[in-house]
Amino acid sequence: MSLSGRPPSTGASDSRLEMSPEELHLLRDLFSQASGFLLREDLKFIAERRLAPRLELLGLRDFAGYARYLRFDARGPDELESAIDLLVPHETYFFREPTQLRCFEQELMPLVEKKNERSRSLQLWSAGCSTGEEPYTLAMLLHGRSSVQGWDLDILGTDLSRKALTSARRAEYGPMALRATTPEQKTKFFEPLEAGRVRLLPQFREPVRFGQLNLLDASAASLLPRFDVIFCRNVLIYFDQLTRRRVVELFFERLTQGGYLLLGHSENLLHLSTRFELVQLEGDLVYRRPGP
Amino acid sequence: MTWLQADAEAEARYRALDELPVGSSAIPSLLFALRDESWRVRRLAAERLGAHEVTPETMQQLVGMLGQRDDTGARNAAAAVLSQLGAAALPSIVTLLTHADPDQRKFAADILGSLRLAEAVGPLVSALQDSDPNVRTAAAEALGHVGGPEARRALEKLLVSRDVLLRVCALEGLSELRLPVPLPMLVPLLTDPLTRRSAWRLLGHVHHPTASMLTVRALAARESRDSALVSIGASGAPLSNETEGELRIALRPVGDVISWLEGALISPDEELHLGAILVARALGDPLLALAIAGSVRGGRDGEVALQTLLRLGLPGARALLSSIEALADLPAEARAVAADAIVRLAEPPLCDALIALMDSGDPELAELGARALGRTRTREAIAPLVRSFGDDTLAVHAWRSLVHLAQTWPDEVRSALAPLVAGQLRPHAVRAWGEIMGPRAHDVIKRALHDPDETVRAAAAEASLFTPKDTVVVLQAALMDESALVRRAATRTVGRVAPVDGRPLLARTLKDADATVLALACASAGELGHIGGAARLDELSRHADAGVALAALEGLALMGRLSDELLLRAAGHADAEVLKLAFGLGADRPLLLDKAVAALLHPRWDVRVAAARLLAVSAGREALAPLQDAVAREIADGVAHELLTEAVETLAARV
Repeated sequence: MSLSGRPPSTGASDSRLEMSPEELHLLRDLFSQASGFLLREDLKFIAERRLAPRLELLGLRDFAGYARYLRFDARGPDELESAIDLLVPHETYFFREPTQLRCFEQELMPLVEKKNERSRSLQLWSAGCSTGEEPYTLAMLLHGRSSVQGWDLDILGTDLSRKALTSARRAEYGPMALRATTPEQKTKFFEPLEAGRVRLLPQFREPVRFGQLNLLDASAASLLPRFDVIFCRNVLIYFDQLTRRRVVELFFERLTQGGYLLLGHSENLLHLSTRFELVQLEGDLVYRRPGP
Repeated sequence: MTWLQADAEAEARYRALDELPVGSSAIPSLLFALRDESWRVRRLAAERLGAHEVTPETMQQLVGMLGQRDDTGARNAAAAVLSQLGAAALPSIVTLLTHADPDQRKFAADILGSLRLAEAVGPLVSALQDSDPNVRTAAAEALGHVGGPEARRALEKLLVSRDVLLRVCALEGLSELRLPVPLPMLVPLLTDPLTRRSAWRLLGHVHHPTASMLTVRALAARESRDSALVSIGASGAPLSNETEGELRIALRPVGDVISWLEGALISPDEELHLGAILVARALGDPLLALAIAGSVRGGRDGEVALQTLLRLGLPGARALLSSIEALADLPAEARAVAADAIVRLAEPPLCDALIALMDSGDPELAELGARALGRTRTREAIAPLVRSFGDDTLAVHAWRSLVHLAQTWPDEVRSALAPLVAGQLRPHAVRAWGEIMGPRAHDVIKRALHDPDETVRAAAAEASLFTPKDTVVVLQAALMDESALVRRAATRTVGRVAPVDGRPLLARTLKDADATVLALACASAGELGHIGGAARLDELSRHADAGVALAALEGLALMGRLSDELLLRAAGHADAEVLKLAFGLGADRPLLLDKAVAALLHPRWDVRVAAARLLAVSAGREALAPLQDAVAREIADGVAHELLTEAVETLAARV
């Protein structure tokens, strides 16, 4: 009944908190409005387990109370961010989807280099970069590339999760992030820390900058420059259809003419946008903003 | 035209259809759209039409579409509409069951199955004698959807049919209805290669010792063990202790049980997968723990897997923690189950593994380690938890865990925490220190109250609850703090102190300039039953900030001071949450009935549902029609539709 809830219990409780369809629906509305994240019905089981410790800490009895807390408590906006953070998977690793990366290096980059040979600059955006593995991978790929030596290279990683961005800036990783990294790459790009952990070497961190961005926040997105290539892999799958459309529209606006959008392998722009050209490369299908 | 252009045109038609007004004028366009080349357009048209009351002419057109062999999309869309129309469609479809064209008769049987109306059973039983085998099969399948005693009898008779398809349909139908049959009827079908799988599924619903024995025997034989898993999975219920004992004996000589079950756990067949979890539960082999957790897909299997892991106990938890990489690699659903099990099974022997989790570098696993360590009751858990106070995310879990550990190791926890409160203070360290030290935390709390960091001062206000002699003085100071964060923390704490101490403090906090503090003050006033503050809460219930108005109304309701006038005013509030609350609080009074009827048209689904619930418990028969209309309008939102339907049923049963 109250917004402040009961006092938090000190011991972890074994009693189960069930989320009714109505509560799931209420939370879905809140999450979707805030970030576009779609709390699908099949995520109920995981949402119950991930959010139950939050309710326990906040001293709330049920998920309806949690929905009210998110909306009305002064700490609601922070909590909303934490809740979405808990529910949206952040799983990523270095050199993920190698075929696509190879295609980026061998097929896309020559095209972009030709287009930008006068400006000698390159702007890349990793949208939904989580803990930074993707933008850092791009930095590693481009570091030794002789054709862009001396170019003004800018790689932006954005994510909604502040926690993930803090971790990205720290640039320290455990074995899971290195699961697709070869021993040679590990030696070349990282310095060892304790317990199998590594830290990315400064020269590969240097071209990458990070920022918190809600992809639905048009005013914040308007501050972004125009990019030659946008990577948004395995992010759209967590959005509802309307949000996907808005985000894809944003990507279109933020791409240079002739710029490329790379999505995850399970994603496409079907029913989302007809403004992009679909380009069939040897190694991948990519989307392109029409232009010279 | 390229596919991109075609897609854009379909999108335009979809949007145009989506914007059609609800009502009979839309029906011709919707009927036309059932023939659209885009499946999305057809699906939308079918959904919309299904929610309309259709005239006999429309019904005739829909039935007519079923005969259009050259347009499969339109046929299927018409069938989908008819399946949604309920009893209104029944007479036309029953008539169609005698059509000259067997294709149409088959459609009729399929639709009757979807309608699930008892009145369809008789015609469907007759259709089992149809000259066309496809119609007979469709009728048998439909009976399995409809159910009821007559359908059951008909399906049981089919178990001895000469037609193998009918036997399979009967088995599947009886399984779907969870209706066991006498074993003598079922046993011959268990060995027939054509009926075996369906027969084993149905056996899962037979609760008889012989059925259990058959299942256990089948598990021990390579050629039948997957079928037995399906049988166990179909029942979905854990096996009895006796059956589990027999199962362990039967599987003892089988050499490859673990690898076989690991394979079955990742099977895409849901019943096989669930059966594998239940057999793994019976076996109790911790080697399977990771495979069980990893097989979770997030539905009913999650709960069964969790219970199985808990039953594996400490050895199971050890197995889960044996490889951090494997744990980190689990899909999100599986990780959530594994985490739940690890926290609940945390015992002293897991301490080292949990500390390793905290050091893994994976933020989620580190939090899991911090949460679970508190339950190990070990001294070794103290140091890593204290170390984690440097990380704000982990510190909140470390604080709770240390409070837990202090019950077993009070001196050790105090000694470990002491350096943290000797120098620069951190908020969670102050909270932990206050809760663990009680009155002896006086000095630290006093110092924290004057800390330059507002989060530390807020923590002092909260921790003062555990230093009873200082509580009032600390809260008085905190309520005068320039930071709203600190005043909020103090106000929340006021709601938790003894009423005699809290009420005088409320007078101050109920006058705060910050709306977020006011909202908490209203909540605290309600919790403390601060009748003296009722007039102020009355005033605040008109506050422009919805959070304040909401808390004031709740506070007044807790005090039993919610007048009719206030409720009426709340029901006119612009904020949907206040409106919902008014409907919730006013359910026992007739004064909001008109507003509730009007709110059935509110743009927000949750307000419509709140209004419907009020009508369900306090309105008369006259509210039935508007409620039914509201249900009919609720096309797109399945959950809201269901909740509104519940309200209609409650009202109908009451009046």
